[in-house]
Amino acid sequence: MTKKQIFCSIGFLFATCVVLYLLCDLFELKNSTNFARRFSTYRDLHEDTVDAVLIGTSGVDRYWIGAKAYEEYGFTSYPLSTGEQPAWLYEYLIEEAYTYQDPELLILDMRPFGQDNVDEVEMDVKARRVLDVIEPLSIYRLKAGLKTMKVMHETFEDKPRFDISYLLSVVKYHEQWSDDKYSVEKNLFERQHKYLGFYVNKKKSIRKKPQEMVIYDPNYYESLDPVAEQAFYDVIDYLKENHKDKKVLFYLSPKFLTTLEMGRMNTLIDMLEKEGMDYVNFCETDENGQFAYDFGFDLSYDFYDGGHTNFYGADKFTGVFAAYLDEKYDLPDRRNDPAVKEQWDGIYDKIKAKIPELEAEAQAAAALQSQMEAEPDDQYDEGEEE
Amino acid sequence: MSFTSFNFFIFIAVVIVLYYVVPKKLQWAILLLASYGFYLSTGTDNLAYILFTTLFTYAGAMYMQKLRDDNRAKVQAQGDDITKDQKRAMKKEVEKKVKRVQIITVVVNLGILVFVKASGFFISNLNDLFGVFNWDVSVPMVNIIAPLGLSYYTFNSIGYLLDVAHAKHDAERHLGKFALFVSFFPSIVQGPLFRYKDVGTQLAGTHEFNYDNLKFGAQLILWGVFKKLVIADRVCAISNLVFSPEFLAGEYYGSQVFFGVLAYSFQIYCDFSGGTDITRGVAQMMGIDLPVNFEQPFFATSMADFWRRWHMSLGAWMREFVFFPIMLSKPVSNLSKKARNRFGAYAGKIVPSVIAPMVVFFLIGIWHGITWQYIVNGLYNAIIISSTVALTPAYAKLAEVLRINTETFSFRLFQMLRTFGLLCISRIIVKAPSLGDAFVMIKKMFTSWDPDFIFFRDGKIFTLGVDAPQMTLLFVAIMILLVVGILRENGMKIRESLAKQHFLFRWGMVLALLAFVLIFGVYGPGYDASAFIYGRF
Repeated sequence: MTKKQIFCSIGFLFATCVVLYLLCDLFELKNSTNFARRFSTYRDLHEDTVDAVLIGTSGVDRYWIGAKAYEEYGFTSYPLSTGEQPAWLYEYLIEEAYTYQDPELLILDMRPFGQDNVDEVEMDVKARRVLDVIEPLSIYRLKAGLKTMKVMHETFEDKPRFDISYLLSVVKYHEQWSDDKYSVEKNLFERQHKYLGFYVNKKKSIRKKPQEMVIYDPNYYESLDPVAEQAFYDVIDYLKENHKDKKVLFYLSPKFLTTLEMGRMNTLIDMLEKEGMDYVNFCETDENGQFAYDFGFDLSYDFYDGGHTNFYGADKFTGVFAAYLDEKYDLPDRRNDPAVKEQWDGIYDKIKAKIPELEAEAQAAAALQSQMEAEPDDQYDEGEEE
Repeated sequence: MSFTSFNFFIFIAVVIVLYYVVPKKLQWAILLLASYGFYLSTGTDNLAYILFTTLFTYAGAMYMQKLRDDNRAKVQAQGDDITKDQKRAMKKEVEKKVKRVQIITVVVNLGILVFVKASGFFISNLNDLFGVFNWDVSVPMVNIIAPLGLSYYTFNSIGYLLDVAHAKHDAERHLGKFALFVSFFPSIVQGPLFRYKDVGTQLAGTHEFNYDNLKFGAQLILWGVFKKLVIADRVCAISNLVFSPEFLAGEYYGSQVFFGVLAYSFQIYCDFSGGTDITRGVAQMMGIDLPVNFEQPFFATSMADFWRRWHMSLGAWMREFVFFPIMLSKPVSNLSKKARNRFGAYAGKIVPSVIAPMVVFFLIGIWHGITWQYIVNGLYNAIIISSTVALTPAYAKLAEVLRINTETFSFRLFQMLRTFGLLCISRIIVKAPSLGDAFVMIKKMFTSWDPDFIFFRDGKIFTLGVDAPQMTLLFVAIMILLVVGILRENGMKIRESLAKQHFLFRWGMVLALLAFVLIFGVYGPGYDASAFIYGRF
């Protein structure tokens, strides 16, 4: 080959990679647009302005109002969460967190370790929600795709060892071009998360579903799903090898656990204690069957289903958890930091202002309200985030 | 391994890298390993067939070569001691032996093909015949799955044997290189067919890395993938629906039949030619030039012209090994003489021109499948082509009487539309669930069209398996295909022409096509991309 031909080939390959990158950016899992905004906003935050990152499931972004914690205590925190985030991808999310910021505190959701990993479609969707939103042009994205292929292949015999769609999302989602709901403008241009990661949804943020308290039994044990168990040890090894100077806190946001979930969380807690990891279990109850932590929850008002708070519950939870973090960790007060003020000031007020708007809309459609009460919990249809 | 799968592209990339990295004298070995690796990836059960064909054909050709070489050596050894007549007699004796070997080897190869593909047909028809006579006899069905590429490598092998027998070239002495000729992986699934003297020598030879070959080959592959994944695998939804027993059991219009057959025409063309483009593109990347198999068949002005543009390698094979031998055979010559004596010079001239196509197209029909539908289709094509030959003077006279200028674009357009109409009938015969269904569909197409255009109103056209956005996309893709076809029909070499353009334009066109395929191709998890139609032959 001549020099010119070599340069041409390299140039063409580069152009091809650009095209592939754009196509993967254009096509992603349908409701990943919401998650994508959360992650792209994180990447756009000013350098060194995030003190804590929360990684996990909706047990993070439905509960934690980072903007409130900033307003009341001055430290900044951001959720890198996706729906039912799989534990086996935690390492890559942690890498994403540290690629763009240098948080001194890492808060990891315990819920993924209690998941079942037996349904192929569910696992596929959970994984793709993460793969579609972490930085595509990164080594850890490649590693995340390869690990997902490995986990899927080992869990399901008929899954091929190599599946290019886990590396190039366009292979999986290209048929969305004919979907009425697909929007090029939305995918390309609406990239900012208005509430710095906190989930605001016109139905779920104001939905009130009464819950019955579950008495927590710390002595009941169930074994973890094998995939989740392996993921736990992988994460621990990764943290010890790469971030041993960082503070890590595992946490379980308050929910109404099934017996199986409770048993698994107890097993997980034992494993955490054995590894010397910090944790906080917000599902613990006292002898009267109340949450051990005084959230001030109104069980008829503060949850939209058994596993998630609405805004009201999140507001109360954040108050308690922020105080806990402020007391336990020496996090800075950034309320006078211009770089932080520029991006964080006023966000909590925006969230608080949005809620009455949503309530007014809901009241205006009273028939819709009663229909909402009858709707089954749909774990996969997040609806549109605001 | 599907030709449009990611695994296949990785496989090609690895083979090409190895091909150019190894010492040139081992390039054939890489291709042979790759070919058998590809073949084994489809299953090990049918390896015995290709191995037998390879070894048997090799041995047969080597024996014929040995007979000639030995005779040559004997003649040379005797020098001036033998006369010319004696030399001629010795050669005649050897050629008789060669002929016997030729017949045995060809019959065995053909026998395997016929047994594997036709035994089911013959047994089931025999059992039906026994049923007609109420005989309580039944031959057990033989269920044999044809090994991958059986028709292709058998025809290639038979062509090779005949070429050696007719002294077109010497037999290949190297077993490995011959095995490569039989099993060359890009072409084993669906052709094209090729002769040893054209391609076999290229496969056995050495090839320097050539940047243009790599580039042009990759572009051809991309074009083939476009045809297959964007058009063929999308439009098949229409043809599969229209030709399904469930659809045909209900009420339908002739316009729907036409729409279905139009879809099937595009499906079969894009699937087959797309696959061939991928095959030729892969070969070109390794410096191997495989014969062109399609030349804008939709621009054909007659059925004969169509078959000169469609599956050209099969046509060339039939021409060389069936058509000309029949034309020049003694029985046909004698028949031609009798016809000339009885009916005049013209009759004597057209007899071989009618008989040979009848045989060729009957064989082409059954090559596609041994069912009554393919047999009838073969005869249909044969009758049209033979009658065209016979009636050519009459058509010329008619044009003269009606003062039609046959050199105009409008006349050419008429010829193309007429040919397409005839082809539609052929497609229906083949694609319909049964011959009975085919005849009903053809009748409806001409007698129950859709007088009020109900099918074209109120979006009903989008109820034939493809919705409005997909239909729009198909239209755009077919327009792209048409534009490229027109450019090629006018003699433009697309890839060479593109190579002369500014690099931004060049890259833009290729990347636009790549993006088009990635976005609009029928592939990936959730799709059921059909296998190449011609892969089952």
